[in-house]
Amino acid sequence: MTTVSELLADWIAGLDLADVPQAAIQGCANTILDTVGLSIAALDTDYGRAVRAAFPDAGTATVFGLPDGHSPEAAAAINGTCGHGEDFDNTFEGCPVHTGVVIVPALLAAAERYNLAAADVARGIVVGIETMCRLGLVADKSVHKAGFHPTAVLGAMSAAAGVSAALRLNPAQIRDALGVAGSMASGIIEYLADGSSTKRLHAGWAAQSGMRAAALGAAGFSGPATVFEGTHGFFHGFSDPVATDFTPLTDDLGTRWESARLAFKPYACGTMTQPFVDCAVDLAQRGVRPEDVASILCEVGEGTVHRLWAPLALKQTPPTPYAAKFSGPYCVAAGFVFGDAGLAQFTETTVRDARVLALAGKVDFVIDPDNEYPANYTGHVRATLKDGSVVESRSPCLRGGAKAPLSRTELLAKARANLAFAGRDPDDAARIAAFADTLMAGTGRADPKHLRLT
Amino acid sequence: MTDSAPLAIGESYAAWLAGLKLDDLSVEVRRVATLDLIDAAGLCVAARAEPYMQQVVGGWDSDGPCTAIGHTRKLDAGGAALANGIGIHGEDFDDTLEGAPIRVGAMTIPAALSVAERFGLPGERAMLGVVAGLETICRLNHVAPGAIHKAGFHPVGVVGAMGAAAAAGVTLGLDARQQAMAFGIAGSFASGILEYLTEGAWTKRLHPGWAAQSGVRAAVLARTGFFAPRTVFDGPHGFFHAFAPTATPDFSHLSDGLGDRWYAERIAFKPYACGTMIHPYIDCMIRLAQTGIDPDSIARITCPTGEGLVHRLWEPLADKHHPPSGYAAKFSMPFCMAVGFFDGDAGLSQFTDARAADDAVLRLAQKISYVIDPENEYPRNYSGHVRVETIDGRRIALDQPHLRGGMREPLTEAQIEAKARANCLHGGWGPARADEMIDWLRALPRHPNLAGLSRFGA
Repeated sequence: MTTVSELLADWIAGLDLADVPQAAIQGCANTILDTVGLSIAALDTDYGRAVRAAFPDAGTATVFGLPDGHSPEAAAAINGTCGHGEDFDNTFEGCPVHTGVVIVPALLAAAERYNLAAADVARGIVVGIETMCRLGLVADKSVHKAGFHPTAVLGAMSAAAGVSAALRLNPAQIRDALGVAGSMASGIIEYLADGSSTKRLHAGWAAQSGMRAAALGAAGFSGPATVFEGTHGFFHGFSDPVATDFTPLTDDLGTRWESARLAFKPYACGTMTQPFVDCAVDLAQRGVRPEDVASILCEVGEGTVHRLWAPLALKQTPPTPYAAKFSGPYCVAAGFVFGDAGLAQFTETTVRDARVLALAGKVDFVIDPDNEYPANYTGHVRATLKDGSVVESRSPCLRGGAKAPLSRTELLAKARANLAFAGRDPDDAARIAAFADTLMAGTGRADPKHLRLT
Repeated sequence: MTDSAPLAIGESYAAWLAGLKLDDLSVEVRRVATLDLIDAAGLCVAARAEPYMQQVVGGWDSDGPCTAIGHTRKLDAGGAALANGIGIHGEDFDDTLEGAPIRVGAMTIPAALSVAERFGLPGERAMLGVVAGLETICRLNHVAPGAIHKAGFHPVGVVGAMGAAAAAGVTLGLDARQQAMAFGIAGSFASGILEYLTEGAWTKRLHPGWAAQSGVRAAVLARTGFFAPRTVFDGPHGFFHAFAPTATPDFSHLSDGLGDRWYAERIAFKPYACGTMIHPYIDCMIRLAQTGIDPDSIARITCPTGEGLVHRLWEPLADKHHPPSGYAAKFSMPFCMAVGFFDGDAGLSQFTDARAADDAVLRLAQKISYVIDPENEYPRNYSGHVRVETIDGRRIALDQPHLRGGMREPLTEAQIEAKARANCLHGGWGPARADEMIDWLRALPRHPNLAGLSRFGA
């Protein structure tokens, strides 16, 4: 009987880049643009410096935006950690997995490690992103519920799939790589307690784990063929309740493309907070002034409460800029006061801004049992003003998602703003986009050295 | 924010580790750590020619200054930690812990050695790191006994990453805050599912090595100031929440008697190259063979056994009667018992693919089954019980009351050194080379640095 990983491996081994629809190719190219811009923007943050210091080994691989070469695993770990650092990177509606910050660093490091053709790297990126989205659909909310970070654990599997595809491994090798990756997949969610940086690290760690797993699979190191569905397998360990329906992963391979409907974030905060920011910006644009607000109530989906809304007192006064990204009250207040929620709205200064904190202290939430989360991410802000009047705004969906995608122009503007925030040349955004389009077109050798942007 | 909060369990434990000095160690824990180093190094040499070692050492990307014992190629710290961890555990011949079964040295010794070698640190730091790692594994594995396995994870992998972070962190001399962060990071690196049980895939071998390199990475990253959850052990989304969700963790094991009581003194050394709980049964079968009984005269052998062993070592019984490889045979109670009967031993040469397919051994193995004994003391004590029925109706009962090599009947230093020499010989090293390595390891705390370790590459 063919196992789940064998089905996946057969599809990966047989995939032809020419058969991938343009919408998926474009989603991958946009992911490269978005990810690389974000990685560069975070190089000199405290966590960016820390992870660079901890992976000092020199080599041939590119850390985006740095002139010197790094070992491939170091490049993957640094690029992934920096790319995910501000939680501004791409996501996926249905299960919030961040595909770009795992798959792009893994595949571009592999490209340099193995001197790969662009067509193979492009195949690997498509396979990695598609696998990760599909695994997200299998997992739904169960991975988080089991205490694990979906981007981390699903990422290790998907990076292994992607690198295996780029290396053109045979089905048995791919099956072994996936089996080995199951033993490397890791990432608990205790960062929720104090906004510590391990969430950031998970993307980079998953990327380098996937590379390691693919190398072991290529070498013939055996991994369990039943890694996904086995009695003691990946989903037994990492999901609660144990996910048992693998059809979202294995059905319609080659005809249904989840990578064609990736979501890109307009704001630098938790995905589910974004429609709420849109509501706040909307009310501010309608002339509501923060100081006129008596109280704000947001209707929310139950599944978002423990990450974004509770404990409310802590969420109203997030201790760090990073914690602020996962605070519904802060994001709503910042959107209201600043009219935006980009990197510049999550700094040590803004998290102490008196106007923002005063307004965040007035934000409360109520669980709406009919909220569509996680099938759809909606937003709602109802402000009661000091004169007793009530104003309200609703966002029907995630802007940047499948229902209201960001255009390439908007993504270029986002990348320019990210680069400028970090003191880099915003025009580099166009160079990154050109690299992404060339790579995904699959012509010539992949040369990520262009992304050193020297 | 964190200054006013009470110390999390990981912080107070890290503070103890950060203050640890060689003089604080008991004579016995130092002795056990030294023997574990010798046992571990011998196992690395024994496995050096195995295909999985060739793949791991050859397939690693990053060169560096660190030694994979028994291999010429020098690797970076992560690579050496990975290779040595896999080498130590690869044949399932390495140490174990009675009471809360787990491997101890395979995750921690490689982490301490590779970090010391990478950063030019003295042997004294490496020795402290080894003891810190061993003690951390032993204590941590008592916090939620059985529950990690139950959740689908391999304690060697997940507890191992934490122990390796202790080993690497103490070797590096991290301060209390850095060590707490190293645990916080290692919690995010901790990994290892159990699906190898299904078909004997090699990922079990991978786990201690991956844990060791994860611990090295975590400690090195913590030294840079990377911010990780200080509540990694006891937090609501922490390590035990994720890896032992059914347990009520007993954190007193991470706080009580630190420095007075050394859990690592109870580390056991294996006389046989297979699953630990099988050993007392092999002892029974060797004694059975010594009675001169003809194996063809045996009708059936029924073994009273602890319930906790069944799913790993007895079931599915039909598969255990026909292990598909020499490696899978190590976890087959019937095979190990049968091969012990014929060979009078269960060392590395009993677990080749050829031996796993031997007709006479498999014929005897198929006569062996089990019955769950609710009174069996497992996991507090590992005992062996064999009830033989011959075709002509005779009955023979043999019992081994405890694990040889464990607390109740430890292997002597001479036996452990002899095992290491035999393992070196298995890996192609002569006795002089083995003795040179044993002497170097015995002198570890006195070496100004670990440059001498590179002599034991190749």
